[in-house]
Formats: sequence, C-alpha cells, structure tokens
Amino acid sequence: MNGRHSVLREIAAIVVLAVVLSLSYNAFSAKGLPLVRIPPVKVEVSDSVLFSTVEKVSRDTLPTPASAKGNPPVIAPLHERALRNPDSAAAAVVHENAAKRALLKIIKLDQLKRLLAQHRGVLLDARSEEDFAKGHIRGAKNVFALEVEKYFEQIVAIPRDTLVIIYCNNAECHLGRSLAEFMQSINFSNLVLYDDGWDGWTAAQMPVDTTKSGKQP
Amino acid sequence: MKALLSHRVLLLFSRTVLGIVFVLAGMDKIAFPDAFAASVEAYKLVPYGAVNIVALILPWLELICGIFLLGGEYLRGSSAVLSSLLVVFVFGIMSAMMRGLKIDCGCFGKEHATPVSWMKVVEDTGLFLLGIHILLFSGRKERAASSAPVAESV
Repeated sequence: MNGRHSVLREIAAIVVLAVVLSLSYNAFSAKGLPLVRIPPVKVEVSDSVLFSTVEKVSRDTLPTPASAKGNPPVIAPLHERALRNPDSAAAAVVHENAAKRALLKIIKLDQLKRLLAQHRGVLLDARSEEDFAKGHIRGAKNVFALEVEKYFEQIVAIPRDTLVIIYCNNAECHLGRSLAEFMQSINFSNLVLYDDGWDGWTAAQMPVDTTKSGKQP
Repeated sequence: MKALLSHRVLLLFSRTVLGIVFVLAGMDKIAFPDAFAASVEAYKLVPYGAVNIVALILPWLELICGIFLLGGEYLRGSSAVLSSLLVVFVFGIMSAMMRGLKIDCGCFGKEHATPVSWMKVVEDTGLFLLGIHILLFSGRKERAASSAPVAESV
C-alpha cells in the first residue's frame, strides 16, 4: 500500500510541476499560445478593399539584413514591455492584437495575380527553406514560420502598414496562419493569406521560381 | 528473472533510453508550440478549445519525467506518467490510422513530420515496456531491504 501511495504522490508532484512550469513559460515566451484555442475565422477580402489602399512599399524593397541594421528595433521592446507590465498602454495594444489574431483575411488566386502584376505588397512564403528552394511563387521571399527569429530583422524593417501576402502549402497548412499571427502580434495591420497556397498556384500552372541550393539531394 | 530485471545496469539502461528520448521530445515540442498544437488538433482526440492547454502541458510532462529518469529521482512516478502517455500516443496513432486522418500536411519539414505509422506504434510500445520495467523494478531493493535487512554491495 505504501508503495502505491508514494507513486501517486510522485505523479501528483510531477503533474503540478509540469502545469506550473508550462504556464509560466508560456506566459513569458514570445511564441506563447493562448490558453483557449480560438478557431481562425477566414474572411475573404473583397476586391474593393484590397485594391483601394495606396501602396507605399513595393515587394522588391524587402530589405536585406545589412540594410536593416541602421533601424532601431521598435516593436520588439514594445512587446516585451507589454508582457512585463500588464496594465500599461503597450499591453492594451498587445491584447487588442490578440483578439484580432483570430481573423484571417483570405485572397484568391485572381486577386493574388492582380496584386503581383501591380507590384503591390510583399509576398512571403511561410514554408521551410527546403520547400522554398524546391519551388516558390515567383517574387516570394522565404520566412519559415517555425523559425521567425532568423528573419526577425528583415521583418521588423518592413513598414507596418505594408500589404503583406502570406502563403504556405494549402488551406490546411498551419504555417501561413502561424506567420500571420506572429506578424499581427508585432503590429502588422495589413496581412492577407493566399489560402490555396502553393498547391493552388501550381494547380493553376502559374510561374514558379526555384533556388539552387549547394547540396544535392 | 526478477533479480535480472532488478539489476542496476538494466534499470540504468531503461532509464537512460527513456530519459533521453523524452527530454529531447519535450524540448522540441516546447520550442515549437504552434506546430505541436497543430498536431494535437489534427489527431482530433481533444476538444478544440482544450488543444492549446494539452499542447502546452504535455511537453513539460515529458521533459520533467525525462529529467527525473536521468537524474534517478521520482523514478516510479516518472515512469508511470511516461508509460501512460505512451498508451495515449499509441491509441492516438492507431485511431488516426483507422479514421484516415491527415496529420502531417508536409509543412513542417523533415524534422517535425508527425509520424502516423506502424513503426511508430512499435517504437512507442518498446518505450512503454521500458517504462513498465522501471515502474515495477526500481525501488525494489530498497523495499526489500526495509523489510528484511540484507547486506548488499551497491
């Protein structure tokens, strides 16, 4: 009997420790998840809304890390400050953004084609570097959603009101949503998701680019 | 047979294998919570709203139990938790296979691909047996010693 009780006590201690550590870590982590999962609401953007705003930045001007060095990192400290002081104004911004996170704006193939033809917006491929190298939409830049830290400097250098178009494999792929949520949390206000993604683009046999990597498979 | 299974070296082997597997697995999931939450959602075993909580706590259970196993403390509690988790995993994989669920959208690259395969079931069963080994046979010497003092060289 003693034996069984002590096992249960150990299990209880482990579970309590796991709960405390996981929730604490999540609260302070940049990649924290909301405790209750919110299903994303996908809303199709109408042409009038999509094409009405005047673009300040064309997609060719996504800065390289070298050119971004001069810019002070403005938004990251905002986010950190907000996390440290829950009552500050910065926190209010972050929490407001969290509510907006559930809303994903979707564009369709013809809208994407028109945007690209007009050189509007920045096109980001949220998939892994390997997938990107094998083939990506012409003009896209790679920002692997699971490794946003690598691309952070490039991302924060983009003006926050720029139209950013994100895609990944298809409508079920989580990487696009993940990247969009991250960028929303650092105050990008004009994000759209090309939901049909790589699969939709290639199914319509649209122009693609590949990058040659050093390693051969 | 019991003496063999209670042997320190064999237990150390089980503890080490299980410990390392779960420390690494836990750390990987903690590093990519989004990806793991997406996996948990894809198995469709947990109500949607609870997916994030599960995805947050489970990796820490793995990490903590793995560390305890490697460190030699709370061996029975840790192995009990991990063996239970492995039962859940095997059940989850088989359920996904039977329902034909699409778990891996191929998005995450090779390192994060979620395996839904018989190979994974076999692996998890093996790990489960290691956990049971630790659960049943660690602490035996101490319990035996307390009831019947025997001089043993440790």
